[in-house]
Amino acid sequence: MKNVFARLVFFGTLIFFAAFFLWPLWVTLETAVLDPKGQITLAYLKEVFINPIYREGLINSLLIAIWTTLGCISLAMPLALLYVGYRFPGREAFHTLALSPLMLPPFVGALGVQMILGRHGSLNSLLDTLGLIAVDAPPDWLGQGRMLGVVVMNMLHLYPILYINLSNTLSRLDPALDEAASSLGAGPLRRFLRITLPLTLPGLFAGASITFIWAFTELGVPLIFDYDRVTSVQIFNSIRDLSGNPFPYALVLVLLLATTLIFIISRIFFRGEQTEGGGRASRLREIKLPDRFTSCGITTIFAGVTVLALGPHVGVLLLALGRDWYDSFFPASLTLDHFKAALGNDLTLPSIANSLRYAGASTFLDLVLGSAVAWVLVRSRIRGRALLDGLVMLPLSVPGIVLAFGYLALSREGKPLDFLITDGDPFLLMVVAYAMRRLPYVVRAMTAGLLQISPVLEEAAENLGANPRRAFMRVTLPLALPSLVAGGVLAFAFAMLEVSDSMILAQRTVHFPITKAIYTLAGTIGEGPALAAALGVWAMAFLMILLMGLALVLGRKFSRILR
Amino acid sequence: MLVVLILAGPFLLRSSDPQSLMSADRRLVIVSPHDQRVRSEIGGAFIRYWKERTGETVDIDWRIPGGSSEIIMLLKSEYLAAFRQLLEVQGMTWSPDIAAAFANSGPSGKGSPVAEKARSQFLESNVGIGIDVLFGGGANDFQQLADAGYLVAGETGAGTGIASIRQRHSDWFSDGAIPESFAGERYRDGKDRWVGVVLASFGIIYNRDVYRELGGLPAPIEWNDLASPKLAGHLALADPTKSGSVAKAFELMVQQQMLESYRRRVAVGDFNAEAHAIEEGWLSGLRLIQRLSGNARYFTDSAGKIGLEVARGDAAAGMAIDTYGRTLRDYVRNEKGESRIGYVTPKNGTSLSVDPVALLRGSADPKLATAFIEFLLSPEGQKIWSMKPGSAEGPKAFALRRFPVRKDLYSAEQKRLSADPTADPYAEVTGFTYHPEWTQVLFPALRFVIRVSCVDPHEELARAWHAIVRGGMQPDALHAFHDLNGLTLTEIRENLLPVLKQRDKVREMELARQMGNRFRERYLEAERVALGSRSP
Repeated sequence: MKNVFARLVFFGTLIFFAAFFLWPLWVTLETAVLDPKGQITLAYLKEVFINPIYREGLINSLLIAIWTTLGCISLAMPLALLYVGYRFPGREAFHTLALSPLMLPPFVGALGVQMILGRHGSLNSLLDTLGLIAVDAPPDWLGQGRMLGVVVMNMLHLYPILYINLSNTLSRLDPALDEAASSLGAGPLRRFLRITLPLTLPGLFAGASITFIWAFTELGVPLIFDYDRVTSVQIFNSIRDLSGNPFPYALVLVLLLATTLIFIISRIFFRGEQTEGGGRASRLREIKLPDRFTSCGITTIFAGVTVLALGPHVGVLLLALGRDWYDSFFPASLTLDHFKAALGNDLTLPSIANSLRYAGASTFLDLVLGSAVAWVLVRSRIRGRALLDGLVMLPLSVPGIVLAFGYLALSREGKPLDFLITDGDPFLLMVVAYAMRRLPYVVRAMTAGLLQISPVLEEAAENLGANPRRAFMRVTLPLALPSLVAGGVLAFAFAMLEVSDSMILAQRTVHFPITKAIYTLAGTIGEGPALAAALGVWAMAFLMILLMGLALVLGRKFSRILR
Repeated sequence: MLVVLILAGPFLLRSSDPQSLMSADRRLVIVSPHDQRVRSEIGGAFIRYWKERTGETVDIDWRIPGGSSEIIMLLKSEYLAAFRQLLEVQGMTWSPDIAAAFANSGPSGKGSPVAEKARSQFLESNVGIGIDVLFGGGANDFQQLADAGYLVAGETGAGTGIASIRQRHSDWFSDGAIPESFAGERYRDGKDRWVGVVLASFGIIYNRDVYRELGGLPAPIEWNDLASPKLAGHLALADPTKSGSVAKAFELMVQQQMLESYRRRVAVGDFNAEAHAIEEGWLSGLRLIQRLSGNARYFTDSAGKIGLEVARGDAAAGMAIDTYGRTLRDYVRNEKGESRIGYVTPKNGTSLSVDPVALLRGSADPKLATAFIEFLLSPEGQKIWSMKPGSAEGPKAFALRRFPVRKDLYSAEQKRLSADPTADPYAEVTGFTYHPEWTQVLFPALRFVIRVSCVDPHEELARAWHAIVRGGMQPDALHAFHDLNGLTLTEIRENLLPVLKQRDKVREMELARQMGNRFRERYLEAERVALGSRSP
């Protein structure tokens, strides 16, 4: 019974991936291995490795990914430990805010950063007032920052993924284990290394693998710095080359293979260490109430990290509010005109409705499929799980634009995926495209969640007469709900802010999602950036409201489940 | 309260007069890189015009995939797919041969019979992509798209296309209104497949504050000024392989060098002045571009970003299309009327080209599409571009600050109503005649050469240039920096152009790597020389 279901999910997922991932991917990537006569050739692939510029790009991408991941771990781990272990002022608020750095609208996020870090931007203006730099030679942070800048920005942008996964995992560790070790004489460091760390590995792996792949293929941040010795930027640049060169597709293929390889290696490396947790805490975790000095210190740490990570958001907000913000720490005069113009634009209202439809439906699809896949990965023992495991991560490593072109080619009139466009409306196509790229978040979050829930509980339910479905629905699912929600929120937020598919697949203005509306507004000469920022601010505010509402509604439920 | 306000905002502020109606009598699909102000003013005006004339409502479905590059990519891939579909429905097999040939404007009689047949079949077909009109972009791009067969002249018998407009209004298509060419730039296609609507020229946009910071550097007046060593690290440039307009600006720089060389040579009585000038101007043009690249902070990916970087003060200067320059300059004007942005038309260095419109092959409603093009070329349509907002014939809300192509609209009385009453683009651009024949063949090569010599090795190039500048511009270091061995016109014609023309991507890639590596090494060498020559 269990195996039948697992096989069903397994093959269902394979078919879903074959139809909506591998096929569209192949349609775009086939030029990378075919010469003009249609023969298989490795010449383009070889070129990636012989050309020093692309070799350097690949190495830089790898370095950025490694540093970013290490940086994120060293930032998120202490924060998660502090959150789980201590009571301090603003604890819940900071926890809820932790996701917000991820919710940076595209295009304008970059503009917000540039407003702050530009030569005549906010930071230099502040430093100038403080007398720290010379007025006539303001430092060019963006022009000279490059690799370091990219890593720092990546860290501040991506640490929430690890933080959420880690704090989720940590809060469900059985404190009894730690106490037992303590009473046997283990010091804090030893306890962390021998107990906490091994037990949090599923969460760490879930977060770190996403962070790594994200940083490895991240395009937006290096583009802010116009750092072009990075594979993702090189792909982006050459795909838009007017001569129709197949070479960028070879680069994509290399990036894809590299990601897969890294994922497999890390999987093998982590496999031996996988530990099944005790399910739920055997007793309530004691959250320490430190003295006032320490608790204020913790608050300061959280506030500091949050303020830094929210810098770009503040930049976007001020850009939207300011009237020509230039050469000052804060815009010289404020206006609401940009909001009026942006929200009142013809495109805006329909685009909001569209984004909600696309993102909502695709998140639902992700939750169903993602939980099923995670269940197969963790609970079943069928062959080929490793394949499934790697497969579901792949969408993260393919540049969105490549897949989007594939969908475009396959959904034309008379083509196999044409049925996804009903009466000119690309709704189904968008849902599939959005769902595909966000599936990894749900799968990773759910896998981490399920790994921590002992199968013994499910088995006990079955012993008491529940069928497997009932056992899953009544025991496992409620226990895994926090992970499900975490994955779902990420999937929804990223779908709302999705770029590539939105740019390419929504062709008629009535079908534009919000990101394409932002992009379109940004093109207005002069006030374009401010208009786009205004709509971007609205999108951020909307997502924050959603997030806080969810925290409010589910907050009590969470604690009840945990108790 | 705030939450409610945020959620309800878009509802409260929505516009009462949307352009896209789901229930209109007719639908016009336009693909365009024009910004939303142009779309709303021009689109709105056409909808009103059509309603008045016919009583019908029109839904304008704007397709806005991005800039010109994205539009060209879209057209290419859509026509490829549509034509393939057409052939396959007819039971023919598709081959890479056909894919390469059907939209290839190269000389006929060279390809295989299958490819030849596919080409003529495409040109005779009415295969469409669900888009009626292409509106905006560079004239060069339009010419290429027309030659590929994506743009059509229409049928005079059926009253469609530019051909039929020309038949009805022959006076519009004359030297007094829309000339076929002006100072060397083509304003309309001789075969009626595209026609210019508004004028466009290139200029230098610069930030006065940054210029002041750089030790009171005088404001730029010509392209050469952008090569000043004082600007090292302060120039905003975009990659010409991604931005058609930036490629055009680089081409103008090369043209100017050729023109100057030509004038010098004619003055000294060189009998073969033109051929020598092309050769000499090509190399000095490339050297100028090398220096600009040395000054560049980095190569950004679109022309629009150049203006933003300059306006923000991240860069001192860059090149921009005139509307960008003028609009940005006004946008940042303070209450005293001063602007930190300056915009100049480079002396003897820019031509006046057009932003065209065209009917696409296979339009679903060619009559309506033709009416739209006719409206754009009519005096009513033309005036919207330049007049002050709110005036009777002008735009409703925004000044578009662009110059209509029709010469008959620059009378003193017309100019008075313009948003820029003093500007007369036809008079402004002097001292420069564009010679398409000088660089047309070289244009694809120019993009390629700039990429391999300046964009790809930019890190090494910039390091070398900065070292040279700090070292006091030592001649031997400069010599190494400017070594263009392998890029003379003869070598380009023999080694590069054939490869680019054959679309042999493998060979092209190899060439890009070899040339790129050579330049990287030269720049590393130049840096070593510069650092060596600095220390006594």
